[in-house]
Amino acid sequence: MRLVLGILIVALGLTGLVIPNSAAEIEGIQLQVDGLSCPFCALGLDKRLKQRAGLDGIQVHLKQGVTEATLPHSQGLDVGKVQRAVQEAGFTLRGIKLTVIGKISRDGGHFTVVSRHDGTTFLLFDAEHQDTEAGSALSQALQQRLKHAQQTNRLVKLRGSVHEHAGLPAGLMIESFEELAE
Amino acid sequence: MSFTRLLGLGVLVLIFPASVFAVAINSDVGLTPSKEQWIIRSQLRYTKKSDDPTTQDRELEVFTMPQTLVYGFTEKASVILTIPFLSKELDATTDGIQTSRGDAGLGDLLLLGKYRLYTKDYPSATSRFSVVAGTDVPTGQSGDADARDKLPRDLQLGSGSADPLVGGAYTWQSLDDEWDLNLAYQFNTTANKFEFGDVLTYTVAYQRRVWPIKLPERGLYAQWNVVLEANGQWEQQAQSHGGRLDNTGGHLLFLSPGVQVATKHFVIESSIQIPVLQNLNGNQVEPDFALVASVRATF
Repeated sequence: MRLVLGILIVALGLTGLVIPNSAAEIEGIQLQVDGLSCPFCALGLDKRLKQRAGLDGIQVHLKQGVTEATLPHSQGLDVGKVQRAVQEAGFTLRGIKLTVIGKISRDGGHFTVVSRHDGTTFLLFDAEHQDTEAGSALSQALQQRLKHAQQTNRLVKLRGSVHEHAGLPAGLMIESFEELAE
Repeated sequence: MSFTRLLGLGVLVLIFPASVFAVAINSDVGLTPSKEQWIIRSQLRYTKKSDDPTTQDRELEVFTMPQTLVYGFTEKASVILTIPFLSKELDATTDGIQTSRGDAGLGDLLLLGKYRLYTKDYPSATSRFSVVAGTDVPTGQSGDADARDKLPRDLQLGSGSADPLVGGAYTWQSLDDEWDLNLAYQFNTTANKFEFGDVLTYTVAYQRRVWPIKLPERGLYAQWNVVLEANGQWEQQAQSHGGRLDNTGGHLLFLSPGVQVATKHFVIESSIQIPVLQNLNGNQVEPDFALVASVRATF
């Protein structure tokens, strides 16, 4: 009986370890890291991303040149720190992709998304309209969808690539858009 | 007994600023550790020299255990400290009587600074060049004696002098293979009116992944590599009291096949160095081979 109870406790404990953090507001972080070309070199990147950028759950996929990470609950993402962490590890950050769950807002006429719990803000851009001038960086169709989400105060789930803006919030080049049921 | 004929060769095994990455086994590389990353390397090297052109039938065995510690101050600048423990034993026959002499203990520390000058990163590949400079520190005994007399220079554990070293290393590394080129020059200085000749070392190394044959799409993996290196060393003649010693210096070239297993935290490897060119001055005992095994860990 004790054995069965022990197994049950261990199983429950393990189950708890693999339950995804459903409250995560920035998730699915993927770093495209160039220059990472041996298993022995990966530990330095792992350490810098944890210590410098506060990321968690680091998983390096050598063949893809991609490193996946998660954020501790309620912690915002500092894109500059991620860039410096990769640089301090001795590699080159080619891009960041992530998913944000939050609400749409407007900042000086530009659409933004504000991550629900940690408050991280991203300026929004349209991946299909990268050639357009700033200010008209969103297609009409996407603008309509964002306006609707703002007016209805609905939660949205956006996935895209992140880029830095000096003195401004980071930009999110939207690749997928989904309105969530409350 | 002309022990001076062995001069220089006894210390040659130490002058390669050995790599601490998952790369060439017997030479340095262009890679540098991450900021605040530590790497430790524990190596065991056995060198045997027995091809004696004289009638003394000399045989020299050298066990070296260099312990290397590396720390990255930044992603480009690092410091490398090597602490060698040595054991040397020379057997020779004079007038039909076999003698054996030797010593064991701490050798000369090697302290190097390394800076990465060039970096070009690609998806899952990199091209890097670093320069290295430093000196060995005369921590090894250079005046030890046995029951018979003071030991000859080549059996001493240290050179007695601080000898600066400069060099450069280039590495091209991908998930499949790697090339390393390394050049280093050590300016040996005078101690007790004796000076080992300057030493130039050069290496061309190629490494090929043999396992896994097909890389997994996700995650890290333990990687098996085969390594082939050409390790060359050219040494000037030594000088004593201002005069050059005939039976010192020369040019050696080793071909060094090896095998290596690399993981995220450890590298385990082994190599054998086989001399393919031995152009030594005078009557010197020529090396038969050197065996190398080492473990590297990072934290």
